[in-house]
Amino acid sequence: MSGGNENERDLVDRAQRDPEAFGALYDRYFPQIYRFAYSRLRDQSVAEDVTSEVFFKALKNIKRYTYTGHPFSSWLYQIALNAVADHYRRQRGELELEEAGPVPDGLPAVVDEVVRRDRSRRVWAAIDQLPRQQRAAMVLKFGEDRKIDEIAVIMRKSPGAVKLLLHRGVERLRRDLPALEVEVS
Amino acid sequence: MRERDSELDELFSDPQDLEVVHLLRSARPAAPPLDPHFRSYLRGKLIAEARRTLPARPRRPWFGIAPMPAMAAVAATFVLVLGYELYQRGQAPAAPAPIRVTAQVDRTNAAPAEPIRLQFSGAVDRTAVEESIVIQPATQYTTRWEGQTLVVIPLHQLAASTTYTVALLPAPASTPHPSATAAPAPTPAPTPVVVRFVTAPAPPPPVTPPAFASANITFIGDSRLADAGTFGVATWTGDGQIMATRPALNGRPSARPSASSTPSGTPAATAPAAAPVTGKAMDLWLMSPSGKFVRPLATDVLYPAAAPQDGTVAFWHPAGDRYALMETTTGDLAGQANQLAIVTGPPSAPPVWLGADRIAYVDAGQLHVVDLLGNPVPLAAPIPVSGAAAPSLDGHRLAVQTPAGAAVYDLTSGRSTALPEGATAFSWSPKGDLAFAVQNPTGSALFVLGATELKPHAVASSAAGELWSNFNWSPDAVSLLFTSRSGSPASGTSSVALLVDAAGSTPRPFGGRPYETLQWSPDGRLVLLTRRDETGQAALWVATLKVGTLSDVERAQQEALAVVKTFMDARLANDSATASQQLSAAGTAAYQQAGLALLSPGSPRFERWYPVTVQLIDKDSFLIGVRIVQARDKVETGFYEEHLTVARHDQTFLIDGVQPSAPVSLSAGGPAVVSVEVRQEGAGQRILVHFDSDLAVDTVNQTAIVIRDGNDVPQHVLDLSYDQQTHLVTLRTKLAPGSYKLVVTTSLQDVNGKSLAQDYSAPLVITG
Repeated sequence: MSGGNENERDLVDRAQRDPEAFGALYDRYFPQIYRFAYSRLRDQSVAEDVTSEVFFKALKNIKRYTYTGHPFSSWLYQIALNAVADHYRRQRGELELEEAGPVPDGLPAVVDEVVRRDRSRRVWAAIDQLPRQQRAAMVLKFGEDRKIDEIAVIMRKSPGAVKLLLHRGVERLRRDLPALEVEVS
Repeated sequence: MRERDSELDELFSDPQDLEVVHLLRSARPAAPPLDPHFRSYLRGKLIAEARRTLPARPRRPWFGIAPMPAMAAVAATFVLVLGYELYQRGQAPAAPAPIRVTAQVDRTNAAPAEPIRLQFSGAVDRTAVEESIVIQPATQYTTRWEGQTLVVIPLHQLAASTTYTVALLPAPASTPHPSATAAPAPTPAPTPVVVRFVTAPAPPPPVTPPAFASANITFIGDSRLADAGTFGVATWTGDGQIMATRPALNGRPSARPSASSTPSGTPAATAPAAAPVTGKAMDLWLMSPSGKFVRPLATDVLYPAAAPQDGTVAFWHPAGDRYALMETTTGDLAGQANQLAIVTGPPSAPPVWLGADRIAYVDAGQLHVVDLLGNPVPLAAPIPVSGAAAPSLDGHRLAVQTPAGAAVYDLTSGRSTALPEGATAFSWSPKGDLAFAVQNPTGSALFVLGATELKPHAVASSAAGELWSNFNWSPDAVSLLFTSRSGSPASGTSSVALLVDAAGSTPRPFGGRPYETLQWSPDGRLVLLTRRDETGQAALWVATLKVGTLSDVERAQQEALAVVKTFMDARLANDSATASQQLSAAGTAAYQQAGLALLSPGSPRFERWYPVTVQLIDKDSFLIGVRIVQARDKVETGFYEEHLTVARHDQTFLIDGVQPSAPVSLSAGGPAVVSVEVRQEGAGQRILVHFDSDLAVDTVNQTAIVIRDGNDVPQHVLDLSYDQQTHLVTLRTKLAPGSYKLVVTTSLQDVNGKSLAQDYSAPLVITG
């Protein structure tokens, strides 16, 4: 086990008793949970609601959390996945895609950046059209850099099933985005 | 650009796939817009809530005073009565009332997601009990209370073949307040309640075709999973688990609206109907291969349908005065289901899966398709449905009965191909071949439309008066199992299961029993099926198949069983000559000495028979117990058993001996033994005794169920356990090779307080 995980474990242990430790957990995981929620919902205010729901549920249940060798974030992603599903259940149907948001710092020249942003927007818009489970797996792998084993825990599937979802997702993007192949090549 | 991801490198090798992967890796989604005030606002709210709820609290005792040290935990039986006594909350210390804690979990073969049930004999502080739970190895879990029973539900699959400990670790009864300055009075540390169990070994991974070859299988035997009335429908999930509906445990009525409250004109079934609508709510459960209901998946479920891959399930669920199409997965331990669509009329058939991520259903006579988010998926052309509908496993094609006749639709192009008139009982193979039956006045014909063929070809046809249905392809798409029914309601119907090579062959009997609704498991080694019990109701069974070459003992057992089957069938058919041919000279003498009649043409007459036990004596002889049910005027009145010694004589087996049991009247009621099985496990044995009804747990003990040697001396039983779900009593023994007998006494009662009609005895052979 890595030292990083051990620190996380200690922090989680403390957060089961100590409000400030829970605050530290929040500081550590807010960005990725919010990013994940936004990538699935494409609406700032809804992403805020879902992120809020995730951390309040985590707080409510943290006393029951026991360390199983997977990162604490897997548990948060699991809650987030359910919260997103709940949102769709309530809303029915997808929300409209918005324009891509602000660009992170330290990127290439302006023209390259415009092209890159367009391709990024199109490929992620295509991911948004994938079936629910494929989309979740693709976002967690390509957007959040999660390991397949972690995604399996988050989605409550076997690693083999996650690989299958990723395969299908990529295959479908290949089919749906023929123009992108040209751009890449 | 991010670092290389070795997992993606392993997963994708096709250059075109790699281009997409490269694009995705280089095109990380843009950072989302974020209101910085939101982040700090949420943090503030969370910390305030955490301060309200999190401050460290000492674990509360969940009983009034500490237990007496003398009451140490003793694990005694399968229903693990911890001889650990606690005290009811609020009782005066001078007169403590003991609280017993009973744990119900398979101690040595627990299912990987099996809930752990701790039953308390008295009231306890529930919150304190929940807070005292410690599970090792670390396990995420949730809890719920069912009356006085605490159910601890793991939130992930437990590791296979691992010893788990579930402990309730109550704190000392008198806990000093954190602000107290005086030293607290010492209190005895309470003894924890500790339950240990070992999870079952990991199941062997499914063998996928073509490793499995249905052309080379042998029927080994069958075992009962659930009695009639205890389940509704059962099916394999795509990942090889069994899911089954069962009446709601609390007996609540279904929330589904009555037929009269729904609009008329509801379309006909989209697939062969399977679930009875009883007015009683049916819950959907995951079932272990041994028949144990492991974990609930959803409540008030109608017509569940498993996805062709993984453990996803779709079903109908009442939603006010309408019905909702729901989807959940066997891996969702939180029991959450997603609503995908609403229909107005009561559905009369399961939804059907189109591949892994779309579901089709019928509403107002038209086929509709949704994805797993509930988004409607447009069809290339409208498809009217008037009867059964069955999609190919890849979801690209649909065989369907329409008002204009049966047809196969290409769901991508919308083109359809007509099937022969009267085509029904559609079944798709994993390779895309469609099997169906055409019923005609003289019988049934089986057709197959190959995946690349334009016209179906006939495979086999039945004798006059037979109705073929319930086709089920083997996983290797080579063979088909199906049911053949004959007779009429007036004269009585009979059914037989048949196996046929889809390339064309004469159907041959499968298992030799009146099986119905057969379903091959995804790995092809088991067949889930129903079989009528004594009352004519369908019980759930599973048949085991041997793929490949049989061992010498397995082959010998098959031959011995075949001889017994011939013998017993001939006796029921009053065919004395054929029955006698199965007896050796010693066997004939044994029947004469025992005064047993081979035939019973009068009244009572032999109505039916079934094997109760098959035990190996040595590689050339077996002890096979058969139960013969007798009837007067078609009314079954009683039964007795004959325990036959079947031994090899040159190239064939013959019956050498018989030991009859005392007759048992069916009018007396009470529980009855259904089967006895001896499993040699290392130096010991596991003896499985299956009963036909719910037993009163407190009567299932080593007084009621005893093993005696040849001198009638009771033998030591290491432990005895009872599974209420499957009516199975398991005795663990370490007997030396020899002959013994299992005795079940009349002290055993069913849940209605009815005792076993009379002592039951069955011989046991321990070969070592």
